[in-house]
Amino acid sequence: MDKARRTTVATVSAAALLAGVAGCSSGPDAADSGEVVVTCATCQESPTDPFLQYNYEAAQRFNEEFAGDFRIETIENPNAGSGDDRLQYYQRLALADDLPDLFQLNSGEIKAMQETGKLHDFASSLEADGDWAASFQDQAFDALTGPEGQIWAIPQQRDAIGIYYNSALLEAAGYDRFPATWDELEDLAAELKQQDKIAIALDGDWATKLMWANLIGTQPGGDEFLGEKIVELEDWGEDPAVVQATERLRDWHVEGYVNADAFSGDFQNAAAPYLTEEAAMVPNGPWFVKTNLTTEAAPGLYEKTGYAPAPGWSDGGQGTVVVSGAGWVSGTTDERKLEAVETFVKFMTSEDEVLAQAQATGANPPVQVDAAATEAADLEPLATGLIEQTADLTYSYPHARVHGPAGLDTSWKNLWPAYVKGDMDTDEFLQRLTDDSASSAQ
Amino acid sequence: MSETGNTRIARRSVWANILIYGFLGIVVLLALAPTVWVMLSSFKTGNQIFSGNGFWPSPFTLQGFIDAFTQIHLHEYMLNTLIYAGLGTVGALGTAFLAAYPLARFSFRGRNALVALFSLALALPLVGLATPVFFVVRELGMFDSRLGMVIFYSALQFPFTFVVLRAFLVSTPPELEEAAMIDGAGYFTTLFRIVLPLTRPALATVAVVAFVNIWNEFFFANLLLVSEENRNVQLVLAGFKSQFGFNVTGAVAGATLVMLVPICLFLILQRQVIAGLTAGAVK
Amino acid sequence: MSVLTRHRPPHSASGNERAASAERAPVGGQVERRSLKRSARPVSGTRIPRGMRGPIVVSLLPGLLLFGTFFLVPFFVLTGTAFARWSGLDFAWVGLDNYRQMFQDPVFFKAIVNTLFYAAASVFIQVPLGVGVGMVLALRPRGWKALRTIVFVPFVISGAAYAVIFSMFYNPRAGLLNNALGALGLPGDRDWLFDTATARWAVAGTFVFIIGFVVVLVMAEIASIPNELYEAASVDGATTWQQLTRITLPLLRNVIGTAILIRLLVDIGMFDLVFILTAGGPDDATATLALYAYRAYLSGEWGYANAVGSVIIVIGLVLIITVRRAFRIGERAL
Repeated sequence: MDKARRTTVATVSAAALLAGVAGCSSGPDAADSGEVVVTCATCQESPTDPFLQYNYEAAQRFNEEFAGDFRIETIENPNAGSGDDRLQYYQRLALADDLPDLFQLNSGEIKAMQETGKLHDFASSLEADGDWAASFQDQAFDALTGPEGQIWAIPQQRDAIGIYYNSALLEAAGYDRFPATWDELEDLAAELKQQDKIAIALDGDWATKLMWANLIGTQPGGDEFLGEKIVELEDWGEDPAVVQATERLRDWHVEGYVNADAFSGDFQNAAAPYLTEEAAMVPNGPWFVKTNLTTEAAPGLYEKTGYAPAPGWSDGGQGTVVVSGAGWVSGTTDERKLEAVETFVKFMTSEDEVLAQAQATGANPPVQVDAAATEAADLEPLATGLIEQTADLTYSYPHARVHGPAGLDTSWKNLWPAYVKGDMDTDEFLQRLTDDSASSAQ
Repeated sequence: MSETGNTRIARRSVWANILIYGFLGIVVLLALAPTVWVMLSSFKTGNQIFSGNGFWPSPFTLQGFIDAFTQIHLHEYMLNTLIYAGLGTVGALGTAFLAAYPLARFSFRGRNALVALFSLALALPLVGLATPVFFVVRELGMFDSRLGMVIFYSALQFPFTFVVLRAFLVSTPPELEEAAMIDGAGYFTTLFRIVLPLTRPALATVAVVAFVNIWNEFFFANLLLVSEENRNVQLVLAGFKSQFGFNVTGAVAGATLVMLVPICLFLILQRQVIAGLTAGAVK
Repeated sequence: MSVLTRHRPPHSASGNERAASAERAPVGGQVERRSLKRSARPVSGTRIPRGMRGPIVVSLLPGLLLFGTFFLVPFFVLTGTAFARWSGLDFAWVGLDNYRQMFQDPVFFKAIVNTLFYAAASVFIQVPLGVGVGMVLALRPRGWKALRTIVFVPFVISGAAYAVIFSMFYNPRAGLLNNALGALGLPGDRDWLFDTATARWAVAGTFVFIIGFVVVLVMAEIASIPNELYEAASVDGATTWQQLTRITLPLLRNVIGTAILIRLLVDIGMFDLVFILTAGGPDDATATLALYAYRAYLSGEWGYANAVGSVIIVIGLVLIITVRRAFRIGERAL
């Protein structure tokens, strides 16, 4: 006993010694040249992700323009592109007190990250520069704002998210245009099923919730749920629009209109059948063109592909998800670095840059841009076509996870397959989804 | 293997043989079919993988293996993993050898407690310690650092390496060292000149096992590494499942290459691996 | 076959060496049986010669440092903070609150049940299968060496690689399993991993056939059984089957216990496969204790995560002690 204790004490003190040594060696690096260096975790080169690639090129242009004053240093980051692990990655960095000076988060992630108290609030910068603040599109900051008016992020895009469809498969099923109502879409789906085709490809996560938002948002009052009630309600089942949407979406799975591997949470399982022309429709944003459609698809698929808003519950009741996508956030508290960060986000939201981004990625500008300049920029027709249509649609609403609690993604992925396969009824599903999403957000 | 057991073969009937090979065949099929299928898929096009048509690659392509290096940059992660596994193994072997010798040879107060303590770590589910390990590593400034990871992996492999090396040293006769010490050789001279060469077979054994263990390690890498530039191959494999702009052929080919490293190592050094695992197991 | 036993001490041994040979790793291929020779006495060893104290301390120091820093300190941190609310920054004692919260969470119980399910799958499917194959291969049928190698290969593949393999294998649309079932005329449309009815079995299916380790242990042990036992049995007219069940199997008790121990240790801490394959879904049907603790860690509830961690370690210890008792594995080392 005695021996063991003494050994233990010796070992612990040895460990403490090691801790002391390591602590001493990591002093602050005092680089006192005039140039302020800020780290960026979403500015790396990427052959597969056009958003990252654009950020990288923009950061190079920034470094050139502000050489001597500010410089962006790229951090190679495995979770820079959107994906399930990105939030966890930054949460861990926040726990380790090691957030990058600049990086991008989407609105759902911002909700979770604001809990860490480590994000910079841009409100004062916007207040101080009225012209800059006024240049943003309406509601551009809606999803990026904290409970006390904090502005956690500067938006980089504002997009309409629709449904991609294979016009050749639709034609073969007897449709020469995209369905205008959900009933019509179901008729089309039944016909496609007859022909051994998958009507709509989903992933059990992001894309599935996109259709859920479409089914909710195209009902009267649906945008209210997606905007506020999704946070306030203690049981989403109290909203009849949500119940109807949920059951309709479930029934598509039960009827076999959806790919069999629609629960993995991996978007590639939704993309794959569309790209191999097994599935006729897949919901996704304009970036789908660059990331998938023009790189991996069957030959000629791009030409056959159309991009449509969501059908409505009644004729003329169509709608679309409008999102501001990822925004620039900062994890630094250093005054000089914050000056560099502010200069960078202003640079990124300048007219030249937002158009360069639109060309490179298909994403649409978060700021108002001169019409002639837009015309001259020659943007991706599929993406711009939809954003133009959006103005005439009856409904527009955010994605379910924009205002939804941060735990929604995890809870959805966990509960959705069980619900669709009949383990629980709609009441139970929605009640548990509400509870779990809220509790795992803490 | 010794010659025991051979007498048992003689009176096996045809039926017994059918039973034996049938049983073994089914087990091998169950154990290997998914893996072999995925390895074959690394020669398929993305289209064929996505559609799931056909067991054999058709058309046959090496594009996946090219993409694994040109697009996924697998070699960079393999280099990282090689650093972790290589240096981590050296660290574990070095510290364990230095600790195993005195604890095998000399009796002093606290020795048995220390041996029991080191061995106990081998019998605990270490994932239970995840959060404290993260905390300690962060406080030491070793979070997301290559050097930190090498040190951590040395520690992770230390108990196993220690237990096997000590068992081996206990079983070797001390006469040679005693003679050297009587001749006036110092402790470390004796340790490195006399004991080390004698221990080489056991060192080779634990080295292979430690290397493969670190090469395959996911849990702590996931906990303690975040930067792209520091990731090991297992994190890259896990990442294949959740990426948006996704090169499936490259990913499958990459996964195949990552698996082939320990497989080849095992096939070449089969003896050492089996001996090492068997020796570690009885502790 | 063993590099370890080649260097065993000569038999003209002093008391010191006799104890040492009892301590030796029984790798097999030898005549002596471990269970017969084991002594519970600790190894004595010589006293430290004069002037060696300093070098020995130096020699022990690096190992002690590593072990202290990464095993002992975390262990004390774990026991200390399991009774606290702690996020790495703020800290408050909460007594048994973490444990109370844990035992009120149905997901925690699902995680325990699943973890034990995987452990049971190992004990009742994987280990018996491995013992069976080991015994059959020990009969040295033609090609046994190649077969042993083939059976062992799956063991050196990582959990993350298996996650990739089985996410493809179980894919209900393009996976081998459903395509093969379809080709055989069976219903091939089940979503194995994301159906609560099959998810746990599908996860267990990824590892229960990885039996190489058990096979190798069993074969080594069988090789150390003295041949005379079988010769005597043959003279008495015992068939191969009778020899296997009446001589070999009883003598394997120890090594079977060891194999179970090793598997239990892996299963209690099971994380990689589940985390990558299903993230614990659907409806937490595949979640394990390690995953449950990891979720708490991620949401910054470190005290809670550590309380769960302590449960993992305690369950591990209880199972290990039980198995050691049940299989009467000696008191050495532990």
